[in-house]
Amino acid sequence: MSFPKKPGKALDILKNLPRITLANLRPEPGSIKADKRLGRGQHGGNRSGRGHKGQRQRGNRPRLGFEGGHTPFYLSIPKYGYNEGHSLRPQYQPLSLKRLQYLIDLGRVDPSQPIDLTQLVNGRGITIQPLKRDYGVQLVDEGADIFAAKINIEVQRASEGAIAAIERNGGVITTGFYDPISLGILIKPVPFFLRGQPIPKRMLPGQDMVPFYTDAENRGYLADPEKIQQARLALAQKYGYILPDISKDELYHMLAMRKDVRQIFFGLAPGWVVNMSEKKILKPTDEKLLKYYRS
Amino acid sequence: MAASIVCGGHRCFFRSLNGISGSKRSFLQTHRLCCCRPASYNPKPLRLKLREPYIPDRSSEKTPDWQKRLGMTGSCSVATGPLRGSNQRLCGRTMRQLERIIEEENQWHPPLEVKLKNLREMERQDTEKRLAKENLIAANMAKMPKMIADWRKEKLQTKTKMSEEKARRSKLLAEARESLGVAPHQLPVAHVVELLPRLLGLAAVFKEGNSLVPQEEDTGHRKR
Repeated sequence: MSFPKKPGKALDILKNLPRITLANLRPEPGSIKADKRLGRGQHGGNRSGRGHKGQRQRGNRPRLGFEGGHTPFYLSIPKYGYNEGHSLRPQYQPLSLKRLQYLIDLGRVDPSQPIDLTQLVNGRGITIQPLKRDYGVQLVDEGADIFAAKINIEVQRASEGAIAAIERNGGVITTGFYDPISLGILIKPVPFFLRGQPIPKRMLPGQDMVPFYTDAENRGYLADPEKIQQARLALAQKYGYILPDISKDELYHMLAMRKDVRQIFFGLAPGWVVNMSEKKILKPTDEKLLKYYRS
Repeated sequence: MAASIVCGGHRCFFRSLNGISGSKRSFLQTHRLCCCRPASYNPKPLRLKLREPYIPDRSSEKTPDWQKRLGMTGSCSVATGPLRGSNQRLCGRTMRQLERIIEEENQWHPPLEVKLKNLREMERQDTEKRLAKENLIAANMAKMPKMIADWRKEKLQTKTKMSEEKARRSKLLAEARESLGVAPHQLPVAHVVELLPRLLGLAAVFKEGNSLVPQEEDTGHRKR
């Protein structure tokens, strides 16, 4: 990531050019637009775009929402419990299939590897804020008609249309739960590894979310694989497409990769400590620790 | 899926066109750019200091106390710090910490089986409540036809009784008028007082539901 790369073509070109100074450089024409300067000249001067007299020109306008003194709109409407408990509701950032296809086309997300929330965040496809009650990403079926990628994707929620669009192209979709701590680690793995703490276990969903993640219709990670297969067939029948056989696919090994219930990263188990500077992984040897991390 | 083709001293990666959308694919085909990788995402380098991690000097007086403590986060951790290699067995956790963690987890994060069992129990209770309510409603509805029939019968009976009562009263009134000459309520007070014993006797008879017209005895009333 930050390791210096070997000098390439750019350095060779530089060596052959005359000395580059500030006098030789200029911005690309059209990239820099001059600022509007107020109080100068015929057009920017005089009242400087502030209007004529009054609060507007003198910069004394009342606060936003003030309507001259009568009860303003935002106070005259009575309160109702629409926003009650809003800070306790889990939120899921939407990711449309159109955006996902865009990311794949531009090379920001690699479809030849399982697509995780980490990959989406690394490719700057989505922004997750765990501190704002974000519990992950939800796949939305906008752009389902143009979606044409075969991927193995793991999200937190997915609409039926999105599941159908992915499975129609021979892909695999799974919905998995990440508790807030695991989510924070998942979206920013490098700062977590720099902490030097062992990778924690991923917690199971709360009682209210267990029915969602054990349901095969939602492709939950706790659901029965046989029921998932039946649900895939039923969805194919409903949406009118032939379900491709993944087992005969050349990418079957990649498509079949799924995380364990307690696993946060592919290839890393809970309890391991990753040392990035020395490129080593420390694994626990104590029986009690091993028993805890395997439970 | 990915094959490297050496061309012109550079290595270009030829990616199969499976995952690329239709418009992009047609663009690539028309512009004969199949040998070149499409524009890649080139993020800014992170500039992490991984080769020179900061390790506080435990013997020096200048390092603050908090950096000398065990289990400190950051570069003083078991991965890179002075505890490197020494605490591998526990990976930075003391036994007491581990026991506390296990206890907390058992209290606040029950296993999946327990959650499923609780859900089934809640579902069972909801179903029981709903069924009890429905059964109660069904039982009450089953009683309804008989209740309706009874009410209708009672209503009919009351109606007939009222009409019979009305007929009897009018009959008695007619008889009284016939015997007294005027309607009973039109008699003068003195006359009523005179006739009181007899009227009281008649009231008793009236109460019992018998006819007012004497059949055998002489009542002694005056005709007008």
